[in-house]
Amino acid sequence: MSKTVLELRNITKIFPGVKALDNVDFVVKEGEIHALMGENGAGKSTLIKIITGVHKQNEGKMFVNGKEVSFNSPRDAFNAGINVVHQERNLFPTFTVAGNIMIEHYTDKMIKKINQREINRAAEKYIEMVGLNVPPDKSVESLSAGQQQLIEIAKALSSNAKIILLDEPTSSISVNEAEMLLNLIKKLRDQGISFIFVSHKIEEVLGLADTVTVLRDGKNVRSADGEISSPIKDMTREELITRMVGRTKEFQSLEMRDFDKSDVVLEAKELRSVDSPKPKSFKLRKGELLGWYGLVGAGRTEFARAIIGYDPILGGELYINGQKVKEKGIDRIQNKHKIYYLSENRKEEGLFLDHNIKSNITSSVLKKMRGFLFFLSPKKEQETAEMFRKELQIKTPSLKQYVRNLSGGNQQKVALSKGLAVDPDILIIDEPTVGIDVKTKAEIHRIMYDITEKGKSVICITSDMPELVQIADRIIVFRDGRIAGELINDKDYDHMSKEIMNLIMA
Amino acid sequence: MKNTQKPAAVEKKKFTFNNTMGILLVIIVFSLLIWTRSKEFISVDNFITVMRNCSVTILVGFGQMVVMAGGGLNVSIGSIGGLAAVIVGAMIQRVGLPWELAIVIALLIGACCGAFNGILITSLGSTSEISWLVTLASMSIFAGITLTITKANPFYNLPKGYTWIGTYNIFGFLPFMIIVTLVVAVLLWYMFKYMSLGQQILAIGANQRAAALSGINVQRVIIIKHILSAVIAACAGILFSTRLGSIHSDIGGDWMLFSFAAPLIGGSRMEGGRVNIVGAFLGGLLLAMVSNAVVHLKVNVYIVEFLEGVIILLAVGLDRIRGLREEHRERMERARI
Repeated sequence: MSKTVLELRNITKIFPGVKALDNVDFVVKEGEIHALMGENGAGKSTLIKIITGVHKQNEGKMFVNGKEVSFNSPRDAFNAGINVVHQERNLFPTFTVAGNIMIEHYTDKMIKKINQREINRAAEKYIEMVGLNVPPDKSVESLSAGQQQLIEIAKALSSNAKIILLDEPTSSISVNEAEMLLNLIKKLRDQGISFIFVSHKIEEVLGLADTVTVLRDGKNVRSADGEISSPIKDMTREELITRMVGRTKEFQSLEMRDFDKSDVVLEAKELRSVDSPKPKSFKLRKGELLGWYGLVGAGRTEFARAIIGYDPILGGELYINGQKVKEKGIDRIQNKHKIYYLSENRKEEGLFLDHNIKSNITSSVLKKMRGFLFFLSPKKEQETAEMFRKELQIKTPSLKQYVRNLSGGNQQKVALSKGLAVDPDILIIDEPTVGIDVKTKAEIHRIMYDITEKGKSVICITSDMPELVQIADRIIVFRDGRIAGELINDKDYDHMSKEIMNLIMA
Repeated sequence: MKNTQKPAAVEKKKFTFNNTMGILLVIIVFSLLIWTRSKEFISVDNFITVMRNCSVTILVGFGQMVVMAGGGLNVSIGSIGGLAAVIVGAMIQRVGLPWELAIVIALLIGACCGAFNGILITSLGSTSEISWLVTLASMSIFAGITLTITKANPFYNLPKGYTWIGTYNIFGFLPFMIIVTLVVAVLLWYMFKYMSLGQQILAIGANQRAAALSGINVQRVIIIKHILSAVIAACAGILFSTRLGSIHSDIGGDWMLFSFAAPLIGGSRMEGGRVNIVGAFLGGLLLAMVSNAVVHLKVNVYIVEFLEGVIILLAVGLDRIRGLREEHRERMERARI
């Protein structure tokens, strides 16, 4: 029996309004590949952030090699031998390969002579360990994404990391590189290094990992005999999916509707753009609430941005109300075809936090707010803003309130008002309820439903599966930048969630 | 087709304007061009003049480069240079100290100015924007101190030993001033290449978050780089005054533009993470030659500033265009996967 290198006991983490982790246990043994799995929002990222010192748990204890530890910064975790390789690269682009791998060796003192030749020689050992074939004095900028990732692992090895956390390591690299990486991970495991492996690719997990811990709704999903983790070898794909999805609490679904005979308002034919390069086709019907599901990074936002004209189109065709979209530029397409996109990132891309509610709502329709001599008419602004405050029930003492001071839910309502003010026929809403409490969430679902009842069409991009099954009429599942499949939503959660998971994990 | 295009792009990169060879070529072509118009441009006398001019320009560029390397900027370089020169004057004439000691004190006060900038920047958030804002304010503060000391009156009658620095020529043709600049250049080159501090500054410029995660004390390094920058600026101010024979309170007033131009022409990365010491040296030399050539061509002196602006736009513009093109190429390549 190999010894335990990392142990987390009864970890609870509370964010304002949400219990992200509830009494979670997590144990990693020496020399194993331990997969951490769960749906979006199951608490994986929070757990990772606690292990790597980004967040601190509210309750519970953490042990490394049997000693209790308390991390106040990512650096503390690093010093304890825990290294992370993130999805996005974390290198020094202007440095050489050796400079990146060996940087730890000259960060302790300021005045220390650096022997480039020695560093290059030392780095060669780690470059070889990760199976790369690049000269140590090559600039990392010129390497491929996969090679850069291997450099990060080499860097971790050079700093004597005992636990390496890999967050979706194969998501941004080519198939060959992914295969090399997985072989390398196995090789290093046999040398006694432990890996925490976070991946949504179920085949990869089944083929690579030794053990799996599953989280759901911020809690451990225990095996039949009450263990927190299970060996992968007696697991099937079906079992793993069932564990991840499970049964969720009761929830109210919106009414079922049928759109087979409605007009098509938007149609993409083999549409591809710079950031969404794989061709995709789909149809959106009048009055429909279409859900786009996929893992974070599956290319949903990128595709939406191609549709609204933010990202240059490389090929394919887009029709709105039967007319081919020829215009370029977000403003022209928005004006002519009455399509509006609401960003997932409302604080940075959706709202003017330091402006008041009124000017936020009217900011998208300033032309309509003009009165005498083209000056803005305070009266019109007031009326418009007041109308939306009533309609969407924005809770605020005054329309002069700064948006920064509103709760997340009310901020989202302001963002929605801003979109609705332009009176669009098609509304694309990206992650409408992230960070919003349950009650307001239901209100926002109702608002979206009401919009579609008025004959407008809505595309709702969401990573929240219960929400998706609850509100969508039809579901499109994205995987790796492609459309993996399309489902008519029968609003039966058990059935739908398995169908969706099958498409995601294929 | 795609395969044949790629190596061509790599080849081309070797001969861009930002490359050290490129600037050297520009300098040679430029000299020959001016020489066809004015034979005195290539002569011992003019060589001495250009060397004296550029020794200050290059130092000013180095001062900026050190800060830029770590991702930030320092617009107060000119005021620090001016303050240091005035301190020397005041120490010699009002306090009566020997000039050697006066220089040491002036350099120390320069270091204090840098520490002031660095500490304020790190305590306000260590971003590039903050460094701009803080040094913009301190530029005014330091210039105010200079004016308070001098009341806008120059210091004349400086000791012989002091003015010797700015007027002595080794073997009759190599100004001593340029030796000072060369020594600073060698020290900087050594620091960036062979000392952990230099690597730490560059690491912060390349990726500040990763630098912190790699155990670099980001705040301390930022403070130190500002001290270094300020000491180099003070050095430049003092050097400038040794040559003039008098110390005016407006020394450094026009340094801002070429403090940026010299390192950028030389191929240092504006966002930080990469420096080119030889490049900055040649960049400063080129700038000094341009101002000198204007005199020789007997064109309007006021055009110098215009030309410097054009040069910096060209250098930065070419760099940005290449950066944008590379970004675009990368995106398209990703699109192909």
